[in-house]
Amino acid sequence: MSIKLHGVSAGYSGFMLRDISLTITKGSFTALIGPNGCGKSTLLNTIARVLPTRAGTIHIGGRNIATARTKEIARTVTVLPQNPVVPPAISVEQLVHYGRAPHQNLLGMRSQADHDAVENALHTTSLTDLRRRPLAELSGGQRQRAFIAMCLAQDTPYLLFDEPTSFLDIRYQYETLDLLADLQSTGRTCVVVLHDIAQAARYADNLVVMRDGAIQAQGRPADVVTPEMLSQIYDLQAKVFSDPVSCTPALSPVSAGRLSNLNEHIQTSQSLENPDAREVAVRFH
Amino acid sequence: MTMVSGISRTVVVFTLLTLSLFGAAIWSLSAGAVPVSWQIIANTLFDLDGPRQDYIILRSRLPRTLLALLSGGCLAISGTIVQALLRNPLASPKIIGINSGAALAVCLMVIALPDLPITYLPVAAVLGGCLAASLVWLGSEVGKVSPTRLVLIGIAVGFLFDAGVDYILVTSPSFKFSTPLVWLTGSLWARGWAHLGLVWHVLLLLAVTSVILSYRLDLIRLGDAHATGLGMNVPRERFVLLALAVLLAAISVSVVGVLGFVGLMAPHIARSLVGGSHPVLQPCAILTGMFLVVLADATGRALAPPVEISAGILTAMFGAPFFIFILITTGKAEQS
Repeated sequence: MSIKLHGVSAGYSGFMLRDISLTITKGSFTALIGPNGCGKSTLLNTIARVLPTRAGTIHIGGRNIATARTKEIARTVTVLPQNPVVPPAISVEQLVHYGRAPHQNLLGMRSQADHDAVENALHTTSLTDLRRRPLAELSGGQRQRAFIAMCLAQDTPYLLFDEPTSFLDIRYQYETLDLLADLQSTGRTCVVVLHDIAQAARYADNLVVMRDGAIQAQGRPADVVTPEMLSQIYDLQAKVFSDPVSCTPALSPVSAGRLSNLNEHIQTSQSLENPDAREVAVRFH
Repeated sequence: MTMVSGISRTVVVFTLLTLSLFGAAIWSLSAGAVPVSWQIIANTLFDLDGPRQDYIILRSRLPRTLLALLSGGCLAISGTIVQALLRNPLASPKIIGINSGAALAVCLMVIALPDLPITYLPVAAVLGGCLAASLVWLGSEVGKVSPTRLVLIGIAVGFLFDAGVDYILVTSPSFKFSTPLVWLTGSLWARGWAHLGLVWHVLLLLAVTSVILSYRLDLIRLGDAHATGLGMNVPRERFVLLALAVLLAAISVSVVGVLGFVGLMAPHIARSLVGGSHPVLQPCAILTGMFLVVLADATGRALAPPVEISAGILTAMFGAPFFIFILITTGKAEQS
């Protein structure tokens, strides 16, 4: 019972994922990272069957997503797309109820279980007080939480989130990631596209690094987040050190832009930094 | 602003709409070249003792009023579906080319087959409307339709067909087109039981199906990614919903002509009254569409009898200012 990709090729016209094989174990927190346009969103959307596969197979919890009924898959896996469409004149509560659609009939008739799941999702995302507000009147962050609540109401063992922290201020970014960590601790499997590498390293137990439509590295954050990886994948020179709170890899880029005397700066900062700072690869352009 | 979306508000809106609709229907039976009082209407309809007006009420105004109700409701459904599918508040059946296709087909029929009786106009209109909509569908990549593309191609196809209509109207003798022209402006003039008998069962079936599927519009309105994630087969369901919208509009237009504005306006008015959830919105839009067309048809007969002003002209004349008023007064919640 896991997410298994075997030889998957997929993508929009002009951009392809090539021959991707990947296993995401049940109960893990997997972060997909990589530079813009590397294919991480495409990969997530392909796993979510939003985009069709051109070759290969994808199994989620033992079901082949190409052959199983889409409604059945919707009871197993929920999807938060990157730029959700905001429907007009819909309240927060109505939106969260849509998450129950896979558990309902064609007419969307609500059972007690549906009401309970919606209450739960509203409470978890601290939206109970905003439940009657029209979605269009909320701030970007509140709206994002409403869409997350909708996914929670779907009550699935697998969660696929495409940049759930975008639009959120830093407090809600961490609240959202804490929420996902809580969900993971209840046995759910989270697959999340993240931009912030330090956040990804802090919360995920499995990092998948992508570039040019292929997986370049996969493993535990401490093994994957290295100056070499940042240089190869992002073309970025950076110092990697242990986060003082979470003891997971964090980074500080070495950018020539604002520093007139880079050499001197690096020397002083190295001497001041905490002792477990890693070796830094500096390359001058 | 909090959304006063309680059940009470919805009940009040539906009660008021139904009462207004009832009033408009009574007025539609009474208004015209020969005004008929409500007592006489009641006597005639319910077979009571007293003075009656069998011919005017039963043969002329009753079928006409029923047809106005039917077409108004169906155009509203079509508009609601198209707006949800295209995720575009400016969308209406017109935007997927139905009106222009129907108009061109009717003009072509008058030109190419002048001996064919006028009763075949609706057939030509349905075929033309469906043809135009299929062109739009094919042009926007089958099964993988982006809403913006569909809108743009719909507008282009509309212009193409409109150019054809204009060409025929300019190059042909004008007397041939008095009937098609009245039809093009959207009129219920001279519509009777025969027209109603042709379309009521099909339209009713399509309308009931659409209402049953209205919760699917809520889900597909969230965009392809969310709708798929919630277990919708998006390409298939979008095709079914679009086909319903096209047939409803094309058949309505074939009988009452181009009442294009109803499909745009009714969903908007309904949305400002009961919110954007389609299981409630769709029935409200139906009542609104019915009300608009019945009112426009009756007003057209009452304004300057015995001359009739087309319902299509009046829905636009009264509807447009009201529509703008609604758009201005309903704030951010209405915008997508």
